[in-house]
Amino acid sequence: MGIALTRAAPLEDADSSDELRPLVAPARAGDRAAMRALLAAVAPVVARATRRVLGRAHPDVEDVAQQALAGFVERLDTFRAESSVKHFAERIAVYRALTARRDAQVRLRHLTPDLPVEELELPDVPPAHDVALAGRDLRELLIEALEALSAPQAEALALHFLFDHTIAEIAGMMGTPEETVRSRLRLGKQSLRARIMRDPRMAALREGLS
Amino acid sequence: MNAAACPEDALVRARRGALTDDEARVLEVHLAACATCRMSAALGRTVGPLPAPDDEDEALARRLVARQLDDVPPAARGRVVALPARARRWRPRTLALAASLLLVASAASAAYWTAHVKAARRAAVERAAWTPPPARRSAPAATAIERAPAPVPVIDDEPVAAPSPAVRAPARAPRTAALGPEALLRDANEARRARRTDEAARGYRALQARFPASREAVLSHLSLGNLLLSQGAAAEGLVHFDAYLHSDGELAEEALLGKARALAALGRPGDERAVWRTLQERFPRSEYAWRARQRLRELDRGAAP
Repeated sequence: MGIALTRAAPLEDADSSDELRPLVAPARAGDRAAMRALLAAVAPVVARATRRVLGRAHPDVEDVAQQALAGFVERLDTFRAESSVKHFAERIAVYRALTARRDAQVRLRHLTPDLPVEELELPDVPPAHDVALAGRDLRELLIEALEALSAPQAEALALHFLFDHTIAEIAGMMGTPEETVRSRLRLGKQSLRARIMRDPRMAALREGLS
Repeated sequence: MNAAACPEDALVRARRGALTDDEARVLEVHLAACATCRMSAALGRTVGPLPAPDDEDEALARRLVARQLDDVPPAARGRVVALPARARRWRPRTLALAASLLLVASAASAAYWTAHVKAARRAAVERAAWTPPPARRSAPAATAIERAPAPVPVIDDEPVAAPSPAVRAPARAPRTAALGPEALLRDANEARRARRTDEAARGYRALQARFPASREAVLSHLSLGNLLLSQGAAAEGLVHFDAYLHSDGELAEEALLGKARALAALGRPGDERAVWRTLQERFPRSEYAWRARQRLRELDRGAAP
């Protein structure tokens, strides 16, 4: 087969035991020290997740990450301990970042209403033989492709591919049954595969697909 | 191959390097028959590993927390409301809802803000200093932060490379000639975030030369110090960290952190040790205190940076 699967980086944030959980109740009750400790622990997760989805140099990273952290505080009352606190925060950050990317696309369409949708989705596609994309660009194309999916599918795929979460973890983070996550991944991958097959910029990913 | 039976978790665990030999063989057999999973494997390689948090992540996280705590009143006084970001400005309904909630929360927490006005002002200065979108600018900063920084390093006996000529007399690009300190800082920050480092450094230096007493110029010493340090210009970065510290700015923790790192890069363990201790003494509850303790232990063992 020859497909190398193992990544070099070690697994992080598995969070089988959640040391942050005891801080949630006092933080909800208005304990500023608990809230400060909670935010200090989850903010790096939020920062990294936002940059992972938007790209490290994206001009809106700071705004979107701030929104995500505010969203974490807002939604703390809804935390049901179905996932770890860090995973709860990470999911919010991923959702916000994907929403920001989607909003930017919609905004672009509003600003350029005469431009056909397909040109916005696949701008300036050159012939495949002219394309030599670096890994980073392919990654960006993949994330761009997620914007074309439904929000739940995009979120599940992002948590799966960008953050290496298992189905059980994603189900806990999204508060949905595992079968629902499995279905979203399956449908999302089908759409991604179709995208890869028609977008010449993603030709490097077609090996072994047909 | 029935896609519903695809071993999604095995693919994840393979990327984590956590499969047993037997599990890996089962997955290989599946991959041979399932194009969708082959695509998943290829996508996993393309996306690459989740990087460990770096200095930029930590600095961003610190700013996020500082701003968020400024927005978090005690729960009994009202709910926290997310400010609408640029990404959502185009949505009138969202904006109207956020504005309404913000109004309610503001009224509910008026007593809190009155009692904590000093802390709020400090946080507002910090917020304005780090990300200064015009709509969220604070009132004029405290006197201390407006003080012009000293142009020379202050703690070291050992010689330090003099500031580049550009520090003393920066070239002024025509486009920046008419810009004020806010715009200069914004443009330089944008250039830095876009990895246009030379342009960013030029912008910071132009700001420092033209508006040396502005709070934006003071802050830019910290940004430029970090930029230079990241490029290996530790000696020149040190000059800017010292300039910031001399101004008694609100982000002295970050400046001390940068200064300690610069001294480590310059191989000056005695001075580096003194800076870490200063950071511990001045900011015993700092999020960088653990790093100070760790590095001081390393220095005690004679470790290189």
